[in-house]
Amino acid sequence: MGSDSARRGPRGGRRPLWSAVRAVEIPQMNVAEHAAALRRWLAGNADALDEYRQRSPSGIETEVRHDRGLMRLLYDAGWGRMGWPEAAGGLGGPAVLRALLYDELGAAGVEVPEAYVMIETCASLLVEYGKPIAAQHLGAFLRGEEIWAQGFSEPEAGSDLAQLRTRAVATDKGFRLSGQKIWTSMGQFSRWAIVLARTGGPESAHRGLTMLWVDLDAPGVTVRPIEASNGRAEFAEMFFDDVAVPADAVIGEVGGGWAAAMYLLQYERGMYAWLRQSVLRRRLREAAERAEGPIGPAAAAAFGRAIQATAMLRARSRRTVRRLSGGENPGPEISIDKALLGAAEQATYEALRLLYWTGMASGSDPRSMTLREEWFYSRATTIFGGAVDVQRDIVAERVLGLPRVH
Amino acid sequence: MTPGERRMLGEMVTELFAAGRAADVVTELVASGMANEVWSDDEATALVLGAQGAAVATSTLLDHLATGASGPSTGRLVLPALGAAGYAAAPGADEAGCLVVDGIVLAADMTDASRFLIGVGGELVAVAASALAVEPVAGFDPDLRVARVRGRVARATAEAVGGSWSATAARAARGLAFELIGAADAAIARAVRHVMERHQFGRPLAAFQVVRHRLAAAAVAVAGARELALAVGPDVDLDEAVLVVKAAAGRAALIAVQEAQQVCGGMGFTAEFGLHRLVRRVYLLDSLFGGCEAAEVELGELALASGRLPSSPVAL
Repeated sequence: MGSDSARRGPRGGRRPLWSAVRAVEIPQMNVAEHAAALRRWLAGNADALDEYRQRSPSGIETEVRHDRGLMRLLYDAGWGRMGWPEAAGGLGGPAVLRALLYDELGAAGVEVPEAYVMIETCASLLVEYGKPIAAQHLGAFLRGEEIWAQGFSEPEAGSDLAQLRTRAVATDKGFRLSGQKIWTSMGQFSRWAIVLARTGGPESAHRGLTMLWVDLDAPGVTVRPIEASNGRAEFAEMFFDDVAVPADAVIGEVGGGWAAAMYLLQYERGMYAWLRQSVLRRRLREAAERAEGPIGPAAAAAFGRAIQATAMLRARSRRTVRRLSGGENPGPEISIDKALLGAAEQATYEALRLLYWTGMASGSDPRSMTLREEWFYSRATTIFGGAVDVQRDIVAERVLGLPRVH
Repeated sequence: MTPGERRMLGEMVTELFAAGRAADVVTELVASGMANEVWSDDEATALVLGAQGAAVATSTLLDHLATGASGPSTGRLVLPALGAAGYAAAPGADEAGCLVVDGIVLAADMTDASRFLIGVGGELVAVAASALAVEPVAGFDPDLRVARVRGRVARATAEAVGGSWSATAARAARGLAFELIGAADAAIARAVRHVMERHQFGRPLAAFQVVRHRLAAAAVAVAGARELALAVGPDVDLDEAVLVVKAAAGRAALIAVQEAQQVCGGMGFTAEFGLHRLVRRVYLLDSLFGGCEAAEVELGELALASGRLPSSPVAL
């Protein structure tokens, strides 16, 4: 979409704040001070943010357009650039500043753009393993002009990712890419994709993989949305038919795709969990605010459990975000975060189901429609990004020290 | 405290608890003046109370943590009676010029202090030990040495000692959360040892995915509860301490002992194996200030009636 239509920043106020943001030395800035400044900005620009407070029940296309507008607004104000390297279009500072933005958006009653999830997964990888690519493209993503997708899962390689079969065959100019990716979030809206492909032999398992930066407008690429059980095209499948990929599109090293994927997964599991706790907490807060009439013990208990589960998730992912921000690798323990995330997601939407079942079952108002969609989506939170069953395998072996079995 | 100091502290208390010298832990910490340093360090607090939980040990440590300076050198902290109505109702009540007390103390055999510290209304008061009836209740967890403390004294004889009941109860509840987490850790560790040693169908039990998943799920619940209890800090308010922090720890500990009992099979039910002591301890501690099941309902009702979440988000 054109950047002009997306440039709907807060009138007045924007420039002075922008200068103020530019003036500070972000890395030295205390996180609490930064949070206070962000809160002041969110409160001062409440009117401009109003159109971004609710998800759109009219379809994912509208929502993506919405996300782009909000990202542009946050980019212009500077907040959307903090925590990303200056060399890649950001304003520098530690990753914890990104986490702060997601948290404060939720606290201020603003929908956190879904596209930030893709930034956390794809861009976190690029700023470490693909600096030239990040330098060239991240600015466009942060401005809401481009979205990227993550191509890992395949029809025959879900939880057992190392069995993937999409092949990248070396040529004198780079690679020819062939295969199929599935469950790609926002794939149909994406301009580029990070694709994990096999460059080694068929038996090379996780050792023969390479991460590639793929142009989704290139000849031979087909992207098809998949309608999910909540009626929305939450994800897509991508087909690659002998697609030419240049040699400089390798993220990390040839054969180093598994390491790159594991690096990315820390952010997908850690920062994503943090982003979601902000959203879940907001959902619970707003549900409490509008609760009325007699509430049965089942709904009350479910609501109590949801508060506990999101509080645990917040405490846990707070530590992980700080570790990631400090350049530390949380290792296999991040599976605990992922498992707590699934539990918090499902506890929250089960509580909302019990509280607002009548509307959810029979209402056609926007809130009921959104709740239906989100409840269905919460069912998948123990599946995508590594099923909870796989996380338990990892915790059993790598955290509890039970013997490896196969 | 530095990580090294914490490690030494952990080794010391674990060793003393294991040797059945819980009273010496209290002496070591209090006499050395280290107690306040421990209570102002979240990790160290978790370590000491956790070690007590893991060892199924019984001491006056919780009183020290909860009452701080006003505390146990001058009196034992009275907790709400088992089954008391309301999740953190003060054990004392004002009735026509009298203070009516109905509560419990833990580690009752260590009650050599001359006074009880009792929450009444919002405050904390001291009452002469001789004025109240102390009756041991062996019950569900005899190792905890619970005693019921009851009586009626002239209100004027109760001396205000400073400090509020809600802040004291909140610190006690968070201390119980750490103790529950320590007991849960010990149950999982005991079960892990068992499933590695015990073979059935030609394989160690640890090779069965269903066994692994039970223990992994318990470990996840315990990790979440621990992280929460650490993150909220010592000044957490009462609603959150009881209904969120302690209830989450209680729930995780119930899951841990339940899964441990299941995977330890028949052995886990023998007295010699010892798992039952953790089971008893966890269920008893969970029930203090009201158990985790009731807390879920009360928390939900509180949030939905007040229109706000009682827990304040931990700052990033």
